[in-house]
Amino acid sequence: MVLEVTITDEMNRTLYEKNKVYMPQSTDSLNNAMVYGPTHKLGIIRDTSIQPFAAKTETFEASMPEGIGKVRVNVELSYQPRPGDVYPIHHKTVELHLGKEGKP
Amino acid sequence: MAFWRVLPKKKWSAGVCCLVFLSLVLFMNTPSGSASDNEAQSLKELITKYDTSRCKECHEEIHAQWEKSHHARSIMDILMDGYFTKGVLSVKSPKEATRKNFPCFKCHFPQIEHASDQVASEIAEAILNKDQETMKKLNINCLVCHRDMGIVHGFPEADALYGATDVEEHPDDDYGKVHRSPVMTESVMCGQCHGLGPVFDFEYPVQCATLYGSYLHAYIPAGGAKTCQECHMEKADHTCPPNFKDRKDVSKRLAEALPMDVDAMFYRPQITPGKFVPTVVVDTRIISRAGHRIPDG
Repeated sequence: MVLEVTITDEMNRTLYEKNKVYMPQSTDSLNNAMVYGPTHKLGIIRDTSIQPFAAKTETFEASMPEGIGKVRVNVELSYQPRPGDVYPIHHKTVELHLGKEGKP
Repeated sequence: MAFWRVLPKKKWSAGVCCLVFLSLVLFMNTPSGSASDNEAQSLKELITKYDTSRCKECHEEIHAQWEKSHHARSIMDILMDGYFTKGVLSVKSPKEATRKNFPCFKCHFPQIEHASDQVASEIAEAILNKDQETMKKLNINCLVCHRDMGIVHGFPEADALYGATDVEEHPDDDYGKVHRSPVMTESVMCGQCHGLGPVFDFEYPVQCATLYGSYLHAYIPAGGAKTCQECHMEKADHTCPPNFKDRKDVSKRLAEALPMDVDAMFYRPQITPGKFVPTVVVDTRIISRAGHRIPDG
């Protein structure tokens, strides 16, 4: 499961991008290197997957350059069992007007 | 000196009687159809033994559903890629392969339990030759779930099938009756293969499915009460979704299982006095309604 957050400006330039990967991770229990495939895996050593009834919450803070009028925030959640093999799940977009530089 | 020479005659006779009795008990408790008493000697024989075209004659709709399921292609797409060419299970020639080379078959093709090493060698040949026509015939079919795995308390009867209800007269030459198996509608039925994690039965242990472990140790403790079948075999649907070939449906099911909220705001925080930093804050919240971790397998 991959959660991707991208923020672009009105010219579609990327101002910010970050992702979070949710998955159980295993080694072969012979060393500390993560492995793929059931014939190699033997023991989960870290698990960031989404658990039943447990909310997965994230906060992304992105510093923006001055002078940007409007940004588009894209949030995508997808299932990616292998690189390039993407099952889209959610795609949400929020537009924000940043306005002029504020004075206290 | 042999032990029987030092024993009194009465004790020696009693010992022989005990041995005969124990042998009889062991013989009677041997599961019917186990690998030792009726092993298929060729792949063709094994495939014929597990042929389910007989089931299709009466259960056409269910059979058609099953044909679309991952159970119907439990080997395809999984073992065809490099399985025997690298790693601890690799072989130089198919003739070297024995049943020990197929730990994955414990669940992906459990019929191997009723086959000789010759059959394992033939399967290895099919894999190495990328013989898809043969590999398509190896699957988890009606007889696996409704006979071999149909009960978990004891061993299946040789001439019986197992289902959600009793059928006293089942019109089939080999399987003339269907017994109600209480586990058929319980999660433990699926848990036999969609498993608990590492399997240490083999010389080289493998980490099989962890799904049932997650169901038992995360979903149930969190208050979950549904069975696997309620979500994955709704109305006895034998396609057992998700079908990962049906990409739209997989996306739809995941969206239903994982609702996501997004909030975003813009402000100018002043963490360092006098320095305002234009900042976008994005909050995401995903809740899982699934009965196991996602992703899992």
